[in-house]
Amino acid sequence: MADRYVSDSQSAKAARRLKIFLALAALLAAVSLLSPLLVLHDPNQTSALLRQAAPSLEYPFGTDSLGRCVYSRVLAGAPTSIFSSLALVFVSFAVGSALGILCGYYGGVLDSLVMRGADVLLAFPQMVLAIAVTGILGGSLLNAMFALGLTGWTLYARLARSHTLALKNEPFVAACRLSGCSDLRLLTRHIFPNIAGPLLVNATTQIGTTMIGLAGLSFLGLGVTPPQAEWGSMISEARGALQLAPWAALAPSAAMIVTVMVFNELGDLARDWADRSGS
Amino acid sequence: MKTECLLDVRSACRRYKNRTRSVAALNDVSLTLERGEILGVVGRSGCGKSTLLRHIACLEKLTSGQIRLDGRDVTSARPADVCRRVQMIFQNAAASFDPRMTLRDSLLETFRLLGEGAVARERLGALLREVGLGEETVACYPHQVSGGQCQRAAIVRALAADPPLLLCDEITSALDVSSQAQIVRLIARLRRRRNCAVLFVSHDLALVACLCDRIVVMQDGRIAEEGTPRQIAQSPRAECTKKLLASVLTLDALERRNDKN
Amino acid sequence: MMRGILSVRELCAGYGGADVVSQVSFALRGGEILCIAGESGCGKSTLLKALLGGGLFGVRATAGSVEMNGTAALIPQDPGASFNPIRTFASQFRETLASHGRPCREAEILATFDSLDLPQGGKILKSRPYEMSGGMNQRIAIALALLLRPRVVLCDEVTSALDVTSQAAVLDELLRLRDGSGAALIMVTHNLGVAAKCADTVGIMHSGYLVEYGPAAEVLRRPAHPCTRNLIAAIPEPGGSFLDAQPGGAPESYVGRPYSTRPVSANHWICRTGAGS
Repeated sequence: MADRYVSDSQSAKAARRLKIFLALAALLAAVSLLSPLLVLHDPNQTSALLRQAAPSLEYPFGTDSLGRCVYSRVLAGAPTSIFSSLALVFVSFAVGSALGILCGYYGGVLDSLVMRGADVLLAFPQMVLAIAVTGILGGSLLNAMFALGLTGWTLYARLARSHTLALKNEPFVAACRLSGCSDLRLLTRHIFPNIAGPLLVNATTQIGTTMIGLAGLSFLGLGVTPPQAEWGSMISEARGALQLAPWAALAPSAAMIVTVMVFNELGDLARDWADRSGS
Repeated sequence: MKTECLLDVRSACRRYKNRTRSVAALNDVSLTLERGEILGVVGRSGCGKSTLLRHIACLEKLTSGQIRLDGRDVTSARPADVCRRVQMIFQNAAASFDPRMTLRDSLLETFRLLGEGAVARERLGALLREVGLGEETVACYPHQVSGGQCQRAAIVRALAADPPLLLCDEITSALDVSSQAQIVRLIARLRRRRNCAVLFVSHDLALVACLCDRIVVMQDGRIAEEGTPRQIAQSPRAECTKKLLASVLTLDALERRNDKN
Repeated sequence: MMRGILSVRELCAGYGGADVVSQVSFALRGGEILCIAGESGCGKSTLLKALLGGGLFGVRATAGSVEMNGTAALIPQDPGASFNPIRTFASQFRETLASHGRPCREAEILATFDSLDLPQGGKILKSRPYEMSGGMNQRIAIALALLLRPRVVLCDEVTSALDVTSQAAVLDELLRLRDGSGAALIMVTHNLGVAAKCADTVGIMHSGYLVEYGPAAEVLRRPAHPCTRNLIAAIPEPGGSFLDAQPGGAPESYVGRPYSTRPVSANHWICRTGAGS
C-alpha cells in the first residue's frame, strides 16, 4: 500500500539516476568498442628504456615493468573485461532461464535432475570450482568463462523456475491452453515475457560479479594468456613493483572499480525501477 | 432415437495425494447437460465445483470416471483438442489475460490460434458489439479496465470459438452487484441467441436461481442434491442446501426482520 | 434515548488530489447500524478511512468536520491484510491492545472468541494468520476490533470477499456485537441485501456524494433516487423479472455542484447535484 504514495518527485529523481547510470554504462561500452582508436601507443609495444616510467604527458598512466604504456593497456583490456563478462552473463541468462522455465512448467524428472545438478554445482564455492576447472582445462579466456559459467546459470534457473511455478497457476495460462496455444508458444510468448523482469535485473547485477570473477582468474594466471591485456592480469603483473611503480597496478584497479561500481549501481537502480513499475 | 446429451459426466473421481493423506476433491460426481440448458452448480468454497469445471475443460485429468462431450470421450483429451467444444470463463477476469498484452491483442491472438486470423478483426468487432464493449476499452491493458469490462472481454474470448458449452467459474463473485447483474443478463441473452449450454458455478444461490434451468448442490466433492430452482427453494432436502438458502441476502430480509420484531 | 455518537458535517476528503468524498453529512446514535451502499469507486471506503482521521491510509479531510464521542475501530475489507501473516495472533493482539491503551487479558480474549463462535481460542492465539482460512481471519479481526471497546465500528466491505455462508455468519456476529455492546456500526457494502438484513439506516453514495439517506425500510422499499433504484434492481430476486430488466445507466447528471437536499419524508432525503437542481 505504501508504495502507491511514493511522491512524483521521488520517482522522477530515481528515473533520472537510472538514466544517468545507463548512459555511463553505455559510455563504458562505447569506450571499449572504440579502444583501438583511443590508445596512444601500441599496448604490446615493450621498451627497455622506459620501464616503470612515472606518469607524464606522453604516458598518462606511466609504463609498467616491461615499458608498455599502462593507459593503452588499460584501454585495450577494457573490451576483454567488459565484453567477455557481458557475453558470459548473456549465455548464463539464456541457458539458465530456458532450463528454469522448462523445469517450472513441466516438473517431473527433468525438474529433479536439473535442480539436483544445480545443488551439486552450488555445493562448491564458485571460485574454488572455477580454479579447479581451469586448472584441469588449462588457462585461457574461454576456459575461464566456461569455468565461471558452470555455476553461473543456476541463479537464473532457480529464479525462472520459481516464477514459472507461480505463473503456471494463473488463469491466463489456462485460458491460453484452452484457446489451443501450443506449449512452446505459451512458454516463449506468455510466460517468459512476464518473468523476464526480475531475471534481467539479476543479470545486470551479475555483470559486476562476473567481471571480478574473470579478473580474479586472470590474476591467478588461469585466465587470459600474456601478453593479452586484461585488468586482472595487469594487476597481478604489477603487484611485485607496487612500491616502485604503483601506477601500473593502480590504473587497472581504478578502471575495474569504476566499471564494476557503475554496473552494480545500474543493477540496483534497475531492480528499484522494476519494483516500482511492477506494483 | 434418443440423441446423446451435450455433456455427460459419469462417476468422476479425482484424488490429490500429498505426503500424509489423499484428498478426494471429486467423489463419484455424475451429471448431464442438454444443449442450450443452463445448469447451476452451487456449494460452499472448497466443495469441488471449480475442480469439476477444470476437469470438464480437460485442464486436469480425472483419477477415474468418464467425461463425454458432444458424443466423444474426452476424459484423456488435451485442452487444445476440445477448444472448439468447450470454453471457460474465470473468476478473476483481469488475471485471465496476459498482463503484458492489451485486451485487443489477446483477443486477436485467440482468433489466430483458432485458425481465423484472416477474419479476426471482423469477428472481433461483431463479438464486441454483441457483448457491449467499446473499441477504446479493449485497447487498454487488463489492469486498466473495470472488473465488469474485463469479464466481458473474457466472454468475447470464450465466444470466439463458438462453443456449444460455456463453463462459468464464479464469474460474478469478484464483481460489485451492479456489474454482477449485467454479466448475468448477458449470459442469459447469449443463451437465447446462440443456444449454447452453460455450466454456471457460483456460491450465490439467489443468482443461480434466477439464471439457471436446473441446480446441482455440491458438498465435499459430492453432489448433495439437484432439482429445479423452485424445487430447491421450496423443498430442500440436504443440510447444506438449507444452509445456503438461509444465507441468501435479498430484500425479503427486511420483512423477516420486522416479523421477528 | 441513545446519545449521539458521531456527527459528520459537509465532509470532503481525498488522497491529496481531487476530492473523492464530497459534502457528506449524517449523524449516528449509539446502537444504530448505518449501511452505506454504492457501486465500486463511489467513495464509500474512502469515507470510512476519513472518519478514522489522522491521515491513515493516505486519506485526508479537506473540508467539513467529524465529531466522534468515543473511539472508532476499522475492520478492513481484506482479512489477510489486517494481520502480519507470520506473527502469532497472541503477539499481534498484545501489541494492538497495548498501543490503544487497553489491557490485554487472556480470559477476556477467549470470552470474545467464544461469543464469535471461534472454537479453541487458546489454539487460535498460538497460530499464525496464514494457517487460517479467510473467513476465520475475518472473524478474528472482528474479535480484535471488539476488544478495543470502540463506540463506532467501521466495516469496510467485510463480507464481499467471503462466500454466502460465511457472509451470513459474519453479519450475524456483527449484529450480536451491536446488541451486546451498544456500539454503532457503519457498514460499507455494494450489496443492498446486506442492508436489508442488518441496517437501521441506509445511505447511498454515488461519485463521492451521499445521494439518498433514510430509514432502511423506506429507502429499500420506496427508493427515490435513480442510483438507489439501480442498486435495488441489481439484487437477484428469483421468480421476478431480474433477467429481463434493462440496465439503467449511471445517472450522470447527479454529479458536481451545486448540491441541495430534498426531503422525501421525515428522516428520508435525497440530494440532487449538478445542473437542474
